[in-house]
Amino acid sequence: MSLASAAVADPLSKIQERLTNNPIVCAVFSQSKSLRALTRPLLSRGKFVFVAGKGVLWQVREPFPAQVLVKRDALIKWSDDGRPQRVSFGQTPIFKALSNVFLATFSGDINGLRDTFFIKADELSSPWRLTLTPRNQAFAKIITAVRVTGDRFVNELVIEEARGDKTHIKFSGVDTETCQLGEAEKGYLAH
Amino acid sequence: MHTKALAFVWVLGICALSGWLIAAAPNGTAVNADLMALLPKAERDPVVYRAINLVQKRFERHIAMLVGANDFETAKAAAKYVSERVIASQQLRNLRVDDYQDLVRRAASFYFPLRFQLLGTEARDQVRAGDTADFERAVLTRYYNPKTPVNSDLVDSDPLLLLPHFLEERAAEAAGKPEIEDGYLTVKTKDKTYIVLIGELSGTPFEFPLQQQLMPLLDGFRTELPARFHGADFLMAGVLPHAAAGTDSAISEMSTVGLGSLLAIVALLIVIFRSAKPFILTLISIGLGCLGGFAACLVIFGEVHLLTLVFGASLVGISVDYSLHYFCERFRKTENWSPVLALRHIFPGITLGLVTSVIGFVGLFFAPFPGMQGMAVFSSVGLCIAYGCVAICYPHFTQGMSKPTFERPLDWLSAYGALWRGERDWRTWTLAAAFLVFSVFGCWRLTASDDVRLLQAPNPRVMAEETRTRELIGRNLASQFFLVEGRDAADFLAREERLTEKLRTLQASDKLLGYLAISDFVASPERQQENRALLAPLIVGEQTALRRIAQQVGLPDVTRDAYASAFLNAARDAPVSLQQWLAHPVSEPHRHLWLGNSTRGVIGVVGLRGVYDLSAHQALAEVDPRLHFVDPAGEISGLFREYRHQTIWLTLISYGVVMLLLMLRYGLAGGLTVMAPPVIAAIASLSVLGFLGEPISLFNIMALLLVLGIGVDYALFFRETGLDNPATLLAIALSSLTTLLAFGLLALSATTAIHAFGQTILVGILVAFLLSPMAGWNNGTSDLKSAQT
Repeated sequence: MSLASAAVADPLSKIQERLTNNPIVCAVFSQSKSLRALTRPLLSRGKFVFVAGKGVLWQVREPFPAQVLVKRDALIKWSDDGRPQRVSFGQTPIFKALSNVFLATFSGDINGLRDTFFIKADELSSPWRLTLTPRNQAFAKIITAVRVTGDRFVNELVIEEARGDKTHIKFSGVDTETCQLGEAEKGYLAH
Repeated sequence: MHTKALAFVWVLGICALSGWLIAAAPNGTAVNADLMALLPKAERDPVVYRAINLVQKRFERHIAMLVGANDFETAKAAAKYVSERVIASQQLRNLRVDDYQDLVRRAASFYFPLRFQLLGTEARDQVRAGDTADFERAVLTRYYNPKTPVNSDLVDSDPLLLLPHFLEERAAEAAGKPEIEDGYLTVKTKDKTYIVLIGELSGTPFEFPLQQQLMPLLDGFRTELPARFHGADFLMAGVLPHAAAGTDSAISEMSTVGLGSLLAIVALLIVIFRSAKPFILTLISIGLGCLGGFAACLVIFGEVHLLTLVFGASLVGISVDYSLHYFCERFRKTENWSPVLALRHIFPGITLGLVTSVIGFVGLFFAPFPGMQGMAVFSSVGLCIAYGCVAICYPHFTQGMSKPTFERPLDWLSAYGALWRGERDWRTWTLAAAFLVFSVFGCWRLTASDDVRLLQAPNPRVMAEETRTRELIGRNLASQFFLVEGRDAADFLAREERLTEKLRTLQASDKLLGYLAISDFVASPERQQENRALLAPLIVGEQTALRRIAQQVGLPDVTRDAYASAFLNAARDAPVSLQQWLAHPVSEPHRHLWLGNSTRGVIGVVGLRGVYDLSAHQALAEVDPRLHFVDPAGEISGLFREYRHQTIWLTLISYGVVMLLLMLRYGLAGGLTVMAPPVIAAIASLSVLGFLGEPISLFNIMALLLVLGIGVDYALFFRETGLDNPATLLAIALSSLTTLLAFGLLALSATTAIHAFGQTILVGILVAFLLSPMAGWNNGTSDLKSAQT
């Protein structure tokens, strides 16, 4: 086990080198969530803002506008009247682990994910690929794999669930230079 | 000899009578330390009183421990070690360590069959407002939101996502910062992972044996954990560490101040009298006085409050004067000393002293507070017994007492007394004017404080740890809460729901941060019926919200129709009852909110967080006699304020009566000169407090009562025996020295209440002693002149 993790240490740091470390990343995301129980995927899109040390702000534009700020320890949702609702990850540890995948890949600190996942890396291909499988038995019964591909940034993230559901998130229009936060966004991130 | 027989009858009689009364007391000798017991009984409804006590008891027993380490695995190992050791001590119950995940699982399995009758507040409000568009939109947002855990299993059985919405709302209010990881409740900081352990003490944290067994173990973790699990640390919060720190400081104060002053008094008396006898006899008369006072309180009130015991015993301490006067008679420069003559000489003085003190304390009996009445009885009975000891027993036990040889103090005191014999000149008036200015300015600056913190002086280390622990855990309930009564469980829940609806309005206007109520976890039967009725048109029929949502997200017709028929089938289910919820493990984290049966039905608690507007909450309870808003800290402060006012007035009235009595005996000017020293002493102590910026409280006023009682005694003796009697001055000097040693040293205490008491006595007694020769002015000088001529 220790040999194996030593072996992957190198490819991981190669990917780490390729990822740029930015204090702020803006992108457009589109998500396709295919549930076994539904006849067609749930499609949504919106704006994605990562701010180092603050968290990730998901601003869903379509089909139903919503704001969610994902932090290390909790997520904050805004209802229609603008009142924030804080949801601790207490009830959903898996959810938290997945949120950490976002925080880790965007902040360029993949090593931190080793506590929760076995990591298989394909660092030479372009774009690079990571396959994460949960270490925890109970966790593995629900999530079979998380696949991440990217170059200087994360391009795509796929979450495969044991019950047959699959979530596919694509990021495009990544912007680290001219990314400006509006007043509303600053307000959300201040929480 | 019959005086000998009388002495024995007196001592043995008091011992036997008190012993019998104490032994026969129906409630035993239990000393009541409950501050609530000081409240006038009529003001407290017994049902509410018992409920508050129960809440208090549960709160006291709660203890939270945090075990932190650099990584989760080490933290887990350390937490396991701590929990094993703590469980082995058998002093903690219901310790939760690593079964929190089960709690979540249990919640899902308990609530799943109830998803049609327990609606989340937001969803319920939307449907009830008749705006189903809002409701549909909220459900669809949950489907498409990238951050909601929607999965096939959930969609199959609960396509309106009612259950996750309900559970999410409950978790948001109930949980704090900690999250469940691997079954442990954990909190992460920048560099550490903490595991939260929550338990309940097996007894009250004020029990000394429990403190002794548990505290060394818990404190030991602070040094043990970093060594065993590299860099691990240990934090705790609860009443226990405060109570233990209080005990420690009380013990160390008692052993330094208490033992120190006792030794000093013994040494002083032995040096002066060259015999242990005066000390032993004094101790016996005070001891008998306290015993008798205790017995009398038990007979009259059925119990003795701790505060009564402490202050009552201090007031009985005044009787040390009677003993000292008796013994100091031996110093008189006369050869024909005999016990009977000595007694005859001091008899008018100590009798008047007793009468004035008893009048002074009896006033307290008219206070509507049981604690004050107890003090009045305790101290009056105690003083009478101690007086009896001096008058009846001392002559018998002091036959053949030799004249002390240590005369030097007598010379010093005579020199001091001589200062007062001179004519009053400009120096006297300058001093008087300076004092007047000082006291006016001092009293001008006086402020009052009835803060409950007077009773506790939180140890800074314990306080800092508590604050840190609470910061990490988050979600702290306020000390205020609501009590909700109901005829039965269903009535209770319905009443609580009406309250929580109003609480949500307060929340929306930022007057309240949050609340925790049972009815949020298990709605009343009526509300469950109502919820089902609200949902029916959304689920059953052709043009329903369910159909529109199903179409939008692509839910197969089979799933949709199965859900609708599940809803119809569930309509026949009985509503879930409070008893079912209480019996299920899911209620465990909130079961403390339920207080069970009362003589009028049932009763429960609504916990509050962040109460920013007390009166708005108070107003909510006023509309329904079965709702009670409880603010324990506020109540105790109010109680102290009430006691302080009552004591001030009763003291003033009592000493007004004493002054009239003295004027009857000594005339207008004579009465005034006897009252002057104690009154000036009282004013001086208040002025010093004003200058030091220390607020006055009940405890200062209690001390002033003692200053007045003792001060009047000092003055009386001068008045009765005249200025030329050095024995009197010696007796008074010894008396004030012992009082200063016994009570004045309490000014060093770290506990605000005790410090206030000691501080006031220190200044008051010193001034009363220094000024006491003033009482001899009107007759003393004339005596002196007639003696010289």
